[in-house]
Amino acid sequence: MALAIKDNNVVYVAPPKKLTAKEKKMLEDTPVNHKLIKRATSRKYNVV
Amino acid sequence: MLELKKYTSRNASYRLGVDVLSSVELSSDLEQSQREENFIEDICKRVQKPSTVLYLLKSDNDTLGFIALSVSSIGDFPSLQIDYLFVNHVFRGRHLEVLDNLKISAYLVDFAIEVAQEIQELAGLRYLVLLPDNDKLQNVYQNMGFVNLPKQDWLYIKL
Repeated sequence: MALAIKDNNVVYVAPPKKLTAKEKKMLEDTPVNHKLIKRATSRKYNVV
Repeated sequence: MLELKKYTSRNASYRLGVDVLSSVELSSDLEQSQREENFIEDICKRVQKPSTVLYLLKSDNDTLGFIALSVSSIGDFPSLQIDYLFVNHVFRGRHLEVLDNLKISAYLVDFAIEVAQEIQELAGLRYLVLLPDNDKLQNVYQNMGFVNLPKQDWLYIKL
């Protein structure tokens, strides 16, 4: 989710735009979870 | 019949928030219920702008929940962002046969992965990201396969 409550109002929270070198490396080095992606993409979704 | 009804700025009326709220049951906790109502009203307004797309998951006459998605970026990496995921209070925690025995939240995350994969093939998306509303949800989403970005509350799935 990217919504939060601040001062009793709903605010939209964007992902961080500036990442440290360590954070970038972690994002890039994370292995793709093929099992999860295969499960998700092998199903037929009825979008109308 | 199971379906994901898609709402964009092209077909979302000004009544979308009212219609969604009238089709679901919110939390029994008063404070949490108000929070959910505020989020739902806000996200439905965002759908009327071209920035967010909402998919309402319905099974016959039941609204099981919904997911709202938008394109974003984490750092320089283009990403699909889960703006909001809501599960009808009536069905929370339940594994439903109609969803391949998944919980509604897991089914909706799977759908988001499918959407992200489609966009990735067309435009080079790298991550599916979300910001859980609380610590309990952090654990729930990590159990689904999301990875926590240390010192940030954001979670991601690499595509």
